[in-house]
Amino acid sequence: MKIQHQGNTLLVGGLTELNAANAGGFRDAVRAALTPQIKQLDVDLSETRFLDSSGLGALIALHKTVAANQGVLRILQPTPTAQQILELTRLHRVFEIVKS
Amino acid sequence: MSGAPNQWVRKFTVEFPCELTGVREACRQSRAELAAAGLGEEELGHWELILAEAGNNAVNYALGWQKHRPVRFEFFVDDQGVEARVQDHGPGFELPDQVELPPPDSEDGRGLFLIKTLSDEAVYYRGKGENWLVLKKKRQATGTPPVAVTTPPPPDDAGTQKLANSEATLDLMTEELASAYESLSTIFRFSAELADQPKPEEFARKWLGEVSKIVAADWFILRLLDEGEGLKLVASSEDLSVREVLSLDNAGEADVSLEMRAASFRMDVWFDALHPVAAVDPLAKLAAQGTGFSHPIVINDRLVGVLSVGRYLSDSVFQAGQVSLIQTFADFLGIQIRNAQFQQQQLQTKLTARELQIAADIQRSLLPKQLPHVPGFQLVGHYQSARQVGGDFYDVVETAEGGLLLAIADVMGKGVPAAMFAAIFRSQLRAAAERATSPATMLTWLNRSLFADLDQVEMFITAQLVYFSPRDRTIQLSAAGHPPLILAGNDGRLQAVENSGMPLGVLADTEYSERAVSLPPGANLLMFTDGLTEARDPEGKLLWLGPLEKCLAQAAKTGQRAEQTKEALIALVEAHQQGIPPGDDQTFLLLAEYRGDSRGKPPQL
Repeated sequence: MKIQHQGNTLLVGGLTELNAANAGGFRDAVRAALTPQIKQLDVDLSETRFLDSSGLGALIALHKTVAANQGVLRILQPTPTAQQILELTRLHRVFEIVKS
Repeated sequence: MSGAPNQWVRKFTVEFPCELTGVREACRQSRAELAAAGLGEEELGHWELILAEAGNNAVNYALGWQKHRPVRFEFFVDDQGVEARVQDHGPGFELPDQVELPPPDSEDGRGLFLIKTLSDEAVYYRGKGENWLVLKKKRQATGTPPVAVTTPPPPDDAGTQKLANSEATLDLMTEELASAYESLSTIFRFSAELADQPKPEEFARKWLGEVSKIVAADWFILRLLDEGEGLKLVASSEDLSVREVLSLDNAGEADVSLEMRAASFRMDVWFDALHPVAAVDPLAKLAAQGTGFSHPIVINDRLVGVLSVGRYLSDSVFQAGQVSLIQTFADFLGIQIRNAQFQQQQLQTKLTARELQIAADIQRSLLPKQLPHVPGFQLVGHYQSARQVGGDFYDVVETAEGGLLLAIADVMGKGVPAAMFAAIFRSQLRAAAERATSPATMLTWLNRSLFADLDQVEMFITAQLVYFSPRDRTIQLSAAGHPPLILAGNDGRLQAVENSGMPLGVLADTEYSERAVSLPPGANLLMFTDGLTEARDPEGKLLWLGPLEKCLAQAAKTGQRAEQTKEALIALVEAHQQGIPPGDDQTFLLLAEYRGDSRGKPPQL
């Protein structure tokens, strides 16, 4: 997992999997990097081969954290697998999804 | 599970430790196996997610010791579809037919939705010790057929395939049958031994011990309903100290006690890590860390008792087969105990009736068939037994001197023992007839000879002995704790003649005294037991002496026949009782001077 600051944007990438075993760690690590100045959280899911409901839960938790600071969470370039799960669970309406 | 007859039916099992990282690894492994079975990329992705959600649930729901047991995926793959079974050892959860998505901002609650949505069929079988989530999904037509499928199955193999598919089902059924057989054979053995085990408590303890072993229970407690008292402890596994009685009236307790809840709701009440027992529950100490249940025993819609069975560790939940064995056995035991209690009651009733019959027979045999004839006097006796036979009796012994020893006694006690003592007393009395002229000497001697036996059974006898000398027209009276006798003359004057001493059987060595009384002209002398004066009317009022004395004085004045006086006395008592049966034996002995119907005529006896 890579976390980069770009001005008031935080970019999180390098996520091969977001599952029950690592979702909690992912959420906590990103939260630790969030500051009130950050208005945009970009989560790059382009390498994510596996995403489950726990991973979705972590994304929602982060979305709420950012929204509390008037920020947004965007999903960047989700893999077809991740995209399908987001759609199945109607979360593509909650997150802004940016495709290349 | 291996060695399926057809290669194109693929079966495999993935077992993993009960933790989230274990789930992830198992999903990868399962995906690889399914890929080898020829599933396409998209299907593999779906299965991986389904299994991940199911596996995570199994892990997340497991508690405490349940986490030490592995979780298991079983797969059955053919060219039509995949069936996966996920086994967990947790308390289980509800899987609704329709699973709705949670609100968009909810961080959880999507797992079951994904399982339901991505599979064609998802059914959760909830058992006591283990649960199975059975998931089915058709294979996609676009999926690459498995390598082995290129070899067509032998034409007659359709049946074989079905058989192989059913193998797992058969395994489950075999387990079920084995437990059913266990139940049946236990019950048969139990029934066979029942004939030799007269005490319900004993066979309950023994057989619950056996059943506990079969189902691997650590403890059991059997309580039976006692109408007056509540749920009474009848049997428990060794070394258990639990409260003897649970009162059914204690409403506060009914809410917390497992056993009371099982009794009042008439359904099994379970306890485990998720449903712990209350600290005030009488089973709290036993059930605190464990698992088990209280099962109400209901026969013909009537609560008979409650059986509670448990294990000390909450991870080892009873399996369905074990639960049904316990339930079946408890109900069977309930029927047996009820029957045994009923038989016992019947037997007891019969025994009591028989004992009363014996006592009554002895009692009747003691009474003299015929009273001696004394010139110028009439002698009559009366004995009316109470419902429960007591120990009253009277006797008259003729002495060599031409006198009579009149005896009346009341053995304190009921049934056969009292009747036996009356018999002993009578034979002793007759054996010592040479002492009859001195009733005091006789009582002193009787007390000495009877004391040890009476004292041992904590019984005693009140007695009154009167030696009557017709020639001297005197009586010698001695009494052992007995009511005074009443003496009336033809002038209507009454006297109560008393001579008090301790009842027989109270003091080991006591001397009785006696007093002599001359009989007045036209004497009527009445000796009686307290059952007569203590006859009760329906309100419980006692008759007392007054009416008897009045009756006796009247008899002496008119000089009527003793038989007539006897009838009058009986009528008097019966009138007082107004039909209610006497509570105690009523006995009297009447000696009346009789000069014939008109003066001077000889008596017609």
